[in-house]
Amino acid sequence: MKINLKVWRQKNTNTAGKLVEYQLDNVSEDMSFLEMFDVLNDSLTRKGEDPVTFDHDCREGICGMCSMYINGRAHGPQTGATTCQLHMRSFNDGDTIVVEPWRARAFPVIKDLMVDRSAFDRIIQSGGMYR
Amino acid sequence: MSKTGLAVYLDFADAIKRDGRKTIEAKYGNLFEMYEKITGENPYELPMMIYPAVHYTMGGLWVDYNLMTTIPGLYALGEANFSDHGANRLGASALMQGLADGYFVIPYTIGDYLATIGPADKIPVDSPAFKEAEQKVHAQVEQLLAIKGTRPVDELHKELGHIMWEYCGMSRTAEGLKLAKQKIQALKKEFWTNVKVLGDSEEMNQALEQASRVADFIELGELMVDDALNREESCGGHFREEHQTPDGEALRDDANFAYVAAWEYQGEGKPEVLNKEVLEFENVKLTQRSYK
Repeated sequence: MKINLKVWRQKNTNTAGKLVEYQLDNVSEDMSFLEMFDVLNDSLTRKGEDPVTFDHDCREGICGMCSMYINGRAHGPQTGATTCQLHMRSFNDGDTIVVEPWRARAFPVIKDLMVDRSAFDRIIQSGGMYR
Repeated sequence: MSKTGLAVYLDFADAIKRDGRKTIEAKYGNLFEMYEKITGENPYELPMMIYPAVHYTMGGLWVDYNLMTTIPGLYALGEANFSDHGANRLGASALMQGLADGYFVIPYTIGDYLATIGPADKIPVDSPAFKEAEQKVHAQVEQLLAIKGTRPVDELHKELGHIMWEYCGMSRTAEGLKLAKQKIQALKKEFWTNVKVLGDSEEMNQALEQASRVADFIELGELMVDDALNREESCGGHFREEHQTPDGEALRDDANFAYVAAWEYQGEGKPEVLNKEVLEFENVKLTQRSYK
């Protein structure tokens, strides 16, 4: 599949960001959305360009670390699924996909698609969850 | 075989016919839903592609009964330590250890330790040990950034994973393990001369973070290979092909290997020293487990 990406690039919290376009020509429909970003980052790194920063950890749908706001929806088109469990077969050849960080005043962007979630950690630490 | 060439099929058709879809749904519904998300195939209608997963290191940091490591005040909980699981660590045993350590052990032992120290015992940042550790980290970070090679960290990370999967997976041989050791040493050289880490150390830098971890994984991988070579028996997740019963089951050697191997770091480039912690069984007898 061919995929056109518009990815939010932002150097740090204090710098203005913008959407940057990338094109990937060899995306497999079996790739997860994050694996597609690994492919992008591999090619950026080889070209000497700064890879895209994004959160991820277990990549098996458990930890809740991966975020990404995909085409205006948290975690993309599926419901009840994390971004790592979203696969490229949910998209069509030639699609343009817009990827942004989760935007909220309480979660400032650290870099690119990674936001500072410590406000949320403080809520959990104070016992404010799972009541 | 699936198109990856790596999976075999597990067919639920007979079970669904025998017990009905509702029963299977009640037992495995969540799992089947996850499977469909990953593969795009409906496991109620098509056989499932299955594949054995790598189960971590089957071990971790040495800790005492209070979960403190060999460094006073440094505790290791859950999967990071070696304490509760045996040679096999399948299914949800990691959850058991996380919960047991977190609920039942650490709330009591950490308070006991904290009661023995006060604010005056805080190690000052100008102490020689602190300075040495800080300088070491700075030096490694600068070294990684200065290599400016051609290969992304992720690629070298995956290469290490493939070596471990191929030669230090569930089924191992002395020959394969020796080859793995050579391959890891060659990869280590490649990593420290040809890794490509962009950016700098003053900003969020995930490639730099990953490079630091892969440097550790290379050391850990080699140690796992050494440990697997040393253990001349089959036991739990460690199946040495040379040591099996006539019908292909794991053949243990309790006379020589009924111990936990605690490998002690001796410094850069020096082989780790093996400390044996003998396993003593008071209430149960060691027996042969058969999965047949």
